[in-house]
Amino acid sequence: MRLFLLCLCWLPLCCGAQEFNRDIRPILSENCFACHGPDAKGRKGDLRLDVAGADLAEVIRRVTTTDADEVMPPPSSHKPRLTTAQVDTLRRWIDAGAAYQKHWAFEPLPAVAGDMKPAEIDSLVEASLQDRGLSLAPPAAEATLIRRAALDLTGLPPSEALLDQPYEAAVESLLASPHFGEHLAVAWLDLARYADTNGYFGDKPRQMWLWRDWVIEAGNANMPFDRFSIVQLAGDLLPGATLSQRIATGFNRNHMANNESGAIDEEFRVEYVVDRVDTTLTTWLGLTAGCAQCHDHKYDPISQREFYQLFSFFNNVPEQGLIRADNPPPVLAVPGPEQEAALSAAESRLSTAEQAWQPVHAAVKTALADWESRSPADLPPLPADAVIHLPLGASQLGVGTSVSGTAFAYAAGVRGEAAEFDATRHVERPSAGFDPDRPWTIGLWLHAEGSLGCPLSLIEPEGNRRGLELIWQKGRLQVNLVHRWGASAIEVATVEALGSRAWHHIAVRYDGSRRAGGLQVFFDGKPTTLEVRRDTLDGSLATSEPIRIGRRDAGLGYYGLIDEVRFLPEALDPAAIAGWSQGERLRGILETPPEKRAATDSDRLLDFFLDRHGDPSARQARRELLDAREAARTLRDRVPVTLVMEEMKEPRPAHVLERGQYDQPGERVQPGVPVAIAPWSADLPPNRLGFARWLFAPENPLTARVAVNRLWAQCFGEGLVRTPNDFGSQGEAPTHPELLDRLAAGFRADGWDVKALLRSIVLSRAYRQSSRHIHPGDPGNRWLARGPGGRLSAETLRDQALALSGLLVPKLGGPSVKPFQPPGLWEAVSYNGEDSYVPDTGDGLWRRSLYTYVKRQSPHPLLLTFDGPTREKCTARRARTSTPLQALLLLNDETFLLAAEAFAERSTGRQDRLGWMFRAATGRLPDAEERRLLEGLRQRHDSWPLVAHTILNLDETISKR
Amino acid sequence: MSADPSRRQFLRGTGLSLGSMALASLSAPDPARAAGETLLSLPHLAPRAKRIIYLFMHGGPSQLDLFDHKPDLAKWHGKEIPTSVVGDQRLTGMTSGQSSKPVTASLFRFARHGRSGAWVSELLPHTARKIDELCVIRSMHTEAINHDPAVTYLQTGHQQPGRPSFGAWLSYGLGSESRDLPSFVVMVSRGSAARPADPLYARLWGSGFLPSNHQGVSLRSSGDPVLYLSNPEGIDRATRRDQLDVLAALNRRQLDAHGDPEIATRIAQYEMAFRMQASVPGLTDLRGESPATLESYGPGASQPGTFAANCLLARRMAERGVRFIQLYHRGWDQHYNLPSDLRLQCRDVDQPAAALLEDLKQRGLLDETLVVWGGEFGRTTYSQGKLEPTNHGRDHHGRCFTLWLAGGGIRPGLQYGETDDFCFNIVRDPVHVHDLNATLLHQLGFDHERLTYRFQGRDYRLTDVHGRVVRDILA
Repeated sequence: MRLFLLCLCWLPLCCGAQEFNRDIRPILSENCFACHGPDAKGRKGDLRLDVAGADLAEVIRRVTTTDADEVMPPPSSHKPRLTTAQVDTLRRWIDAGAAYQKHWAFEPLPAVAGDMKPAEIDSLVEASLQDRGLSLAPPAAEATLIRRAALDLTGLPPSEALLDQPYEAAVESLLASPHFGEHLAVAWLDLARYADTNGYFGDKPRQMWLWRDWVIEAGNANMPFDRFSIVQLAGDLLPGATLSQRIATGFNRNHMANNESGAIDEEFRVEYVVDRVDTTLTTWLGLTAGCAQCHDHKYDPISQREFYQLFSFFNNVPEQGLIRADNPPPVLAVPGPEQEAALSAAESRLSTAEQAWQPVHAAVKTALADWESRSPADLPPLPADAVIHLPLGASQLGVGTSVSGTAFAYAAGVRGEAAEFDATRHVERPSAGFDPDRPWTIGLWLHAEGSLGCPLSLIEPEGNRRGLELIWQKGRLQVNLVHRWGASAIEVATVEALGSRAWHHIAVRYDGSRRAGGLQVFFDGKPTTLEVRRDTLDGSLATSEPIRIGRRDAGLGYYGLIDEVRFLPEALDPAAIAGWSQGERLRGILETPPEKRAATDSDRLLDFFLDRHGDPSARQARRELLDAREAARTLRDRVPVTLVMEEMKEPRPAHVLERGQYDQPGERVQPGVPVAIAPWSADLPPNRLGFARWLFAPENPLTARVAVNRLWAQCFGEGLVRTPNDFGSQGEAPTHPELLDRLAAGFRADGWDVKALLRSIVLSRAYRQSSRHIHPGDPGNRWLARGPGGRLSAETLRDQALALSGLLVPKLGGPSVKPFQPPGLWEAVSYNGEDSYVPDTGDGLWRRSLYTYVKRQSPHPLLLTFDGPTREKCTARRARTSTPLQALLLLNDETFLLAAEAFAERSTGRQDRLGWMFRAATGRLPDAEERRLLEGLRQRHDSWPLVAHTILNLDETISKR
Repeated sequence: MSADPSRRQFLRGTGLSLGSMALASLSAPDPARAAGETLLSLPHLAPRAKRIIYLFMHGGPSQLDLFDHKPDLAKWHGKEIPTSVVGDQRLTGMTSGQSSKPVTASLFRFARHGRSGAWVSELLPHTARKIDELCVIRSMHTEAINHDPAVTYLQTGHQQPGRPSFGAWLSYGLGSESRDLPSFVVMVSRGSAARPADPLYARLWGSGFLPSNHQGVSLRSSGDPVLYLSNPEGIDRATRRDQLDVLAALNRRQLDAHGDPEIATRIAQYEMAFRMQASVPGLTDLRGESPATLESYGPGASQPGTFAANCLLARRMAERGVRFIQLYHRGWDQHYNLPSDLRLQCRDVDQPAAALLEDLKQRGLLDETLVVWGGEFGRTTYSQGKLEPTNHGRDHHGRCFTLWLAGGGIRPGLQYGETDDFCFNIVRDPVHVHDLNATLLHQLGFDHERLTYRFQGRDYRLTDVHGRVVRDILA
């Protein structure tokens, strides 16, 4: 048995002649190429072993010597000595003439007439099994097989109707399903590192879903793989590029993008280009180019120079390394057809409204001037009983105030002048007369500049830090009422955020109850929603500290203007606060000569006047204008955008970067490719389009091999080459070289027809075998003596539960959605805990998992738990682990619990509820013992949902059989 | 090292892949992956430590306000920093354009402490009392000058995303000591500084290209301590037990009929999940801690989510065999308001960190536990923004920073490395990020050049192609 296993896994097909690629290259690559391979600079002793010409007798001497100074590989490499068997293999190869070969993946493909039929697949698989004394296993049960194909082709379990169809017919339905394109897209999104955030530092949201939808649609339309690829790499460079072709180029804008202030622009711009090269080479050529960023590749024929020639193809995007917008340009705004119609309607409504308003406006202006001249008395009143009032103007800062820090400056305020703060100066005033433990209201006007500062405090700098403070943080107002810092305090922050560099009135109202519920914040007279961060106040706020305006204690200086601070000894009612905000602003405007007023202020005054004194028709015309403006703006804001590739008119010069350093440019290079893979034809344009065409040139054998390997893996779980990201010298050789080559050649000859290839694979007997483990050897199923099986992917697990329960909303495409996720995950990692994940309500909870919002710095736990990638980098293969955290998720996650309830509900009224659920989930009816076990569970707990939940957790359900 | 020496012996004998070793621990191998994993015999060396507690001060604490005392800077205070000192240092985009770069001496008092007479700032009185337990490295350096690349560098050995984190390497290399807790646990606390805390990234405890069972598990202070730990309402522990018994019986029938060994693993994982539902609440339940212990960690010790509470939990995890205990304390990015914010940050961590060392020592765990305290880089000698009498800021500084180690076979009472008079450049015994990681791995029994994983044709290491063990600091 041990011997059998060894035979399966380790021994080459013995006894025949030694073949360089099969027998020799793996030994040399693993042990020698790092110093004696393609890397010219790193090469030792001028000895090169990947091509003919070396003194091979010397090589044998050095790998067999016992002299520690001479033996190869040297002890410093930590590599073990070559085994006797390896040395024998080398000797026999040398004795037979030491014939070299190109690396297998670069050898030309065989000539074939058309695509590969299932029977041809089977004959090659069977031949390889026979060599090992094995044969194909019997076919799986028909329903098991239909479930297998449904999960592999659409990522969803089969419907009841599908289970009753003949297998061949079921396969046709699956290939025609709109869910086919969704499932096909998932592996592509992994390669493309698709996400909904920018990934570095602030991890801000970005929009790329239009590109994602393009991929899904292309899959459903069975777009030939060559076109699918060329459009994504260079759609913008195609003659007469369509909108859709430009959206497709988002493939190479999916990389991460950095907004960390302080980052060096060129460092990250170069990083993005390198990422494009790496991703493109892994995706289409299965090669890892990264090594060649710093030096010639040590194993594969990609020189450092060639790396930067590839680099130059992707180096000409008009972009920045330190991004300034969440959706960094170049971007496309893409209104949907309905949006386009609505936008045009909104624009015409707006222009009508403007025309109607013009004559009215003239009349209103006159009336307004008249009203103004009569010193209007009907303005909303200001609070009269302030215990403290600081006007903060140059002529009058406020009674009892003192100034600290650098000399004060003033600027136009809401009323008269306002004091200007730059974090180096502040105003103090004793707090006598104000009791923070009784009900109070504090109001002030802010025109803020920075992202963080304390405009007002009455707090101890040390110790318990007792008192109260207001903190401006990126437009949100934090209010802390502290008895003992961190322990006894109310800490709240507004959910709403104000814009900076504009005047806003802020009022904080407290009823003295020592509860967060007794605290309210008003922005411009309107109540805000508060996020309560702490609600443990159980003592007094009183302190002998002075009130500080523009600073907390020693620190947290405020940047911007402050005007008209008032402390009131009562919790003012909301109507009075609204009036205060409006009344003070209007008074300020009226006190400014009309010609000096800002346009928005004039409008504000006009709207107040119209509201109080305008006739209904004028009010109506004004209302219509404002509504039409707002409607047009809202529509414009809703138009989705997507990041795309564009080419600069003048390409950026590209250089070899010494040691890969962005600031160490060396030799200038022109666009080019690693010619060991395929030659560059002179008639190709020297840009991305030329590069894309080179990938699909008849001389390029690699692209087809890599593509069919991926589609094979979609069905078999593993590729014929088990290192899909490395078709190079260090990768694994194909388990079935001839099969891989014939599939690749057929794929190309058949016009890169993806559905045809998948059809051939799933109709083969190799695929249709039972997946039972009947042979003890070959745990990884390398020789395909059984059908494919194994645990489902993260997305498929959830989608299956939603489909079985009937909860799935099968809508295709659209903006990403937010299904259930435990609270607190985004807060734990985001800048100052500012980002919160708010689950959708309605359809967004039940969409397919590939539509789930991808936040790179906090991926959805379903993906993290079940081996999903973080989408930071190109991923060609997911691991498949088994952990207790997976069990916890399937047992306790809200989505799976609700699915279990709905699944049970769906079974009501059926004759055999248990049998129906079991078959829906596994494709077969339970046997008597299985029925007994589940029925017992149901009876003991009187719960069908518990049974449904148990069925959803069966190994047979969460796996493909 | 292992809870079960015979198992380790067995593994060594067969040369099984590292990943599969985790089978009996929390992690099960990626069954289809074995071929891509390196074949190693472990441990490479006699380990001096069994685990790491990594107290990460996220944001970059100011070395010259805490440990790297430069009394002579007072003479330069307010004067421009000489260009000869700055040299060709890459400055961040935040101060590269700042016209004036005034030298800013520390506003804090320093005093000598312990037998070693090391200088420690007044901001860290408790740490100062433990100074003879610490090995303070004042000559750390990194090429990164911004948070995202610098933290990623220190924790994954590479400035750009995509590599496994330190804890993931350790989980991969050592598996778990614990039957019912993860081998790599992460806890985050929010600093008291007023300045907003910089973001963290899931990649910092991610598994990169290692199988994802090696990623860190977050232990949270609110909600379920481990995601999805609690049974839903309406399912009590007895019901869940019954459900799992039925599930196991059904799965065992499948195992018999189908024969896939993955099914056996799955059955075991469901059982371990059930055990975790008891063991994790047991871990976080502090009722068994003595009042004296609680008090030693300071006022935050019994408030979930504080650095103090996390330190106490770290000790409890060390007792329970967690391999890599990663704490992040956020808020050390003092671009402005350094005098007030640094004081607050230090108050958060000083007493708990010192108490952790004492607690570990009293329980005989310090020898086998390596404690690391430090951030991703240091801060500039010159002020960022305006230098005022009582207020200033400092920008990021990668050319030198201070970090301390304790326990785990590290030489105690040592001050290692030296910076120039401006605390800007290193003049003696530089320790690079890779050197630190090589040294930490060494203490855990790994030759950092041989703890590798084959990905995309290359054997990757935590230390990339660099790193040397800093033998001078080993006990």
